[in-house]
Amino acid sequence: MGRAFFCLLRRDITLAMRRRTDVLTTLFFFIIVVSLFPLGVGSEQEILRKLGPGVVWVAALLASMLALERLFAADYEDGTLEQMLLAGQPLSWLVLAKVCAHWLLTGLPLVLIAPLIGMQYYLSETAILVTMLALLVGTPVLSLIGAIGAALTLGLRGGGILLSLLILPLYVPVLIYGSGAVAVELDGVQPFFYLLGAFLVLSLLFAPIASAAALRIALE
Amino acid sequence: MPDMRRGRTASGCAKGAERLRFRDCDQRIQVSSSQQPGPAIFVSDTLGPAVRPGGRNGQQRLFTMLEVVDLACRRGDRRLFSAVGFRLEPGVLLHVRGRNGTGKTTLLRALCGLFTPEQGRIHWRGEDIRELGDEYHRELLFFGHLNGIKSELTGIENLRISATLDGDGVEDADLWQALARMGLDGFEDLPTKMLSQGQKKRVALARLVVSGAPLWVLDEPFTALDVDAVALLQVLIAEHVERGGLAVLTTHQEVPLTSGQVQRLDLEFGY
Repeated sequence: MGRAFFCLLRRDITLAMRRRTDVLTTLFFFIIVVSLFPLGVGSEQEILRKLGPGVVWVAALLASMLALERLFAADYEDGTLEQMLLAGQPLSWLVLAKVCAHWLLTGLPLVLIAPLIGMQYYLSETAILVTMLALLVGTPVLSLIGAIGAALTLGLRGGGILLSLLILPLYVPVLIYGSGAVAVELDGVQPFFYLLGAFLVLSLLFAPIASAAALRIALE
Repeated sequence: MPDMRRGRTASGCAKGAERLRFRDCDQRIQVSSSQQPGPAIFVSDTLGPAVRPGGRNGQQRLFTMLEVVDLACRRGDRRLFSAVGFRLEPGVLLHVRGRNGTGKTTLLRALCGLFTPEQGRIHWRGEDIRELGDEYHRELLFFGHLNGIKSELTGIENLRISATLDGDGVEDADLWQALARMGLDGFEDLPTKMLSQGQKKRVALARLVVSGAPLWVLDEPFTALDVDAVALLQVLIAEHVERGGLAVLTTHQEVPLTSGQVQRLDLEFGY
């Protein structure tokens, strides 16, 4: 079981490395969206500092949506998803491997680029650190919840729009607590992280099972 | 060889098939009163000696591996087929025939558990495949219309991944050998998107060489293959059946077997 997990994880990362555009598109989309706000709003330090956390999170949500559509679609089209279903391994476990790969390729780069973004918005050092930590806990939740939506809309025409409508409302708690964590002082940050952590544990438990069930239906 | 042939005639396989034919006759009477053929006609013939492990034991031969009872499938509003039933013992090849759109692929997908039939049961070693779940899938190899290979990965990488996912602990040397056997010598390290349609199919079919699954379900495996590859695939299937494996396949081509038994299932348009 462990071997199958790492095999699939490695496969998805190898595939992404050979087809780099997908990963880079997400990252540059994030950078561009975040950079547009200072240009539109103006460079007043106070406004930007207030706006910063929210903008970073909204951009992260949209960026993670961007790659979601392809999460299962490519495997669906070439038949490898069918083979995964018949592999004799728990499908939810394989889904988790795919979600992990998705996060490593689209979520982790956002965490790493956050300090650069923070500087655009005049965030303090501690605020940048909190942003990175919040993104580190929050972006896996986005990938996990997104996987359910991607599985549900698999094979549908115009699934992309439907996927956004389905998933974005579910992202709201992560958005609220993620950006909230950055906005409060460092002392008050703990409850936000507890809640984000709870979301992460909950989605880790249930999202792979739900996605696996949706995939079985999609392949009928 | 001749003495083996004699052994086969007395085997229980023929008996099983007879029972089956009888059951189908029953169905036909129920469904249609006229001379018209029923939804599924079952024909069985044997093409040589059945050689399989435990073949000397008469009891073993009667053991049903895959049993399908009164299966009916529907796609949307259209009923594809109904009252399909058969039993397969080790060392049997089931050739599913029928015109385009009669539900051959749907039947095969139902056999794999990828499609939920409208009614009927499918048993593997006496247990419902829905309940067996992954346990059943470990003993199953499905080859569908899609090759199931990644075009960015090389042939050897594709084969290694599918072998690992299937849980077959296969040595790397065996994987290279399997590709060589499929006539892909020198192409193992190329991304499969550089290969031709037929070569891609060969990469996908290399799974058959390394797989230890007793049940093969093959949907039109001969399309896009050249003469050599068709012959090779026929040998692979014949070897599998000879080892006591089961194969269910749809094709518009005949598969000559060196041993074992061929059963035919004709699907006709539903009503």
